[in-house]
Amino acid sequence: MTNQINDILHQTMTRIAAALENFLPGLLAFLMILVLTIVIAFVLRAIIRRSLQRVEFDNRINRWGFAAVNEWSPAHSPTMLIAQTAFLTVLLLGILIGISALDSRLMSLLFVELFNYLPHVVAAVLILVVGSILSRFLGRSVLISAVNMQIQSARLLSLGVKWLVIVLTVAMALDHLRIGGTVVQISFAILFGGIVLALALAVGLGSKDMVKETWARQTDKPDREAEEQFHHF
Amino acid sequence: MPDTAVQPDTEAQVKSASAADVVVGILSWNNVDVIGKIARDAQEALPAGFPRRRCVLVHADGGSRDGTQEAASAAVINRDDFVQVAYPVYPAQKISPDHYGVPGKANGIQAIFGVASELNASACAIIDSTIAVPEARSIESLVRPVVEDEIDFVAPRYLRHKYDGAILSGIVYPLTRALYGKRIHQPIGGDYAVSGKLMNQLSRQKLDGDTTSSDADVWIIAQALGGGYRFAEALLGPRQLMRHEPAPDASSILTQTLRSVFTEMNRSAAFWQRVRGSQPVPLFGSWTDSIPDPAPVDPNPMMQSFRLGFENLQDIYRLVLPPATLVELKRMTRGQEAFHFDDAVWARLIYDFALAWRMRVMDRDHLLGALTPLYLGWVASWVVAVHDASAEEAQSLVETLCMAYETQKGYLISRWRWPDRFNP
Repeated sequence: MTNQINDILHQTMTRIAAALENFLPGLLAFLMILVLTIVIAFVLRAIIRRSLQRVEFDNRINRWGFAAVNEWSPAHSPTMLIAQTAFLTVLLLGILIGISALDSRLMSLLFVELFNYLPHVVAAVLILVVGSILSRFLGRSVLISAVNMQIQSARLLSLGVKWLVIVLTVAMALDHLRIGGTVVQISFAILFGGIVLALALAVGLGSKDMVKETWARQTDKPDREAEEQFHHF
Repeated sequence: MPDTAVQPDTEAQVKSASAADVVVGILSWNNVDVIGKIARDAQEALPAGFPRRRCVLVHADGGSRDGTQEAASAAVINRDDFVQVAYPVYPAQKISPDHYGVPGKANGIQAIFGVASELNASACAIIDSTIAVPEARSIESLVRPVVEDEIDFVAPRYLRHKYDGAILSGIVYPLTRALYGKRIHQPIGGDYAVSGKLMNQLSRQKLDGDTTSSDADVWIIAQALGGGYRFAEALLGPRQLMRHEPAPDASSILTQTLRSVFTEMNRSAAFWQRVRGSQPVPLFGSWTDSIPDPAPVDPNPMMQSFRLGFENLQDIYRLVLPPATLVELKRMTRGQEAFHFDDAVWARLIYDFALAWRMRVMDRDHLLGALTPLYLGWVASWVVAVHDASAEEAQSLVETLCMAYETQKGYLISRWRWPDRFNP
């Protein structure tokens, strides 16, 4: 009986030792790859940061008309955004390579899943980026036009348009990522409808005077003539 | 594809005209109601003013559909001295017409210059009939300095009341004067006369066909200013401005005008950075008429626009204007003292917007749209300042503003050359 227990324990210990013997080099390789990756990522980040600073990349971005990029960037610096993105990308690649050193089968499965899902992620990111730029552009267009049309609720109107585009964009991105399913669609429809209704009420109440004045101008020609005494050009 | 109203007999008309001393080109676009009068006036006034010279009238039309071409043809007195030409107009130019001027104006002007060159004309006047109807003798007064005094570019100086043309008085005149060093009061406005020498140079340097009316006008005067030509102003009587339906708003007028001015400012930066001060140009003719005092203008709606704009567009202004200007604008919105836009602040503000235009700080239409409330603030300040002033006093205030633009030009040059380093 004792011999049997000893044998079982011995076999178990042997299996654990063998497993450890198989696993430890992989773990060691993983740790080494990770350390190396971190070092490479840090060096790459420093090189990118210094190179971009040397060519005054932040100022150039402003000059090329992409000042909005500042708002999304860490420390309001597009240079930092690019350097940080490169750092994280290298780190992520290092972790994936490190995992493959631990277990190649797991890694191949992970890669297959990842590559199947990647186009959706890319599309979603693209939608979000374009949506973000579009929402800012349209928001600013509406704000300036509304101010020049003397609409008191110009800021509200601009915010409404901006959020309308953002909500639409996020719903489209989630749909691409296959997250939420019909819940997202229904939520989007409710939210979109709500925003449109709120905007209609806000504009209706905020610009009723303007509508009244426009009608008065259309029907009252003498007013128009008096106004034409002043020519800007 | 551009839309052209082809005139197959244009070549024959030019051949039959053979040679001319003076060419007057009239641009038109769907304005049948006034084209006849302008054409007739021109053909009556020019032979009377220059009896020993051959004067040919060139009518350029981009394809009017209301019978403008037929009306012009029917109105002329002397068919031997009349040529009709067509020029291309792109569909986009017809879909979004400018607040003033004919669509495809650059092509129209080139067509007129082409005929004038073939006729070896020594003087050529351009009249844009869609902007205003000039007085009968105005065309002759515009051409005379070119014909008799060897002037290369004659700008009109129409008799206008003190509130008229606020964009010209507050921005375009002071800015072009400070940049190019010539005191031309109405540098853009559709009408001018040029010498054969200048016309030949302009014909060689073709402007893109896809430009607005104001682009063409600003381009021509900037080319002339940068080319060392002789300038003059012709004092002309009042002109009857055409009415547009719907009436253009201040924002669209400002956007179209400043887009052209800033584009040309960008293009000629190497030239204007060397110019210091300004010189008057010779004046020809005299104002014999007078115009009645204008109806009083209420500045309050414009002040409200200014305050509304400043409250809502501060995020944009922070990208364009230095802190000192923002503080000054904030002081104005409080309304504790009399509403007044300081001349130096206004001049620097226009320079800052010109710089932001150059640097593409944001979408350029957004930038000029955001300038509109500030411009209305300046107009309100101007209306308050000239309320009790005579026309002469108002003109003297414009001159003071021009001096502020000239004084602040160093600020513009510093920021233009070192936009990142020089930011007060």
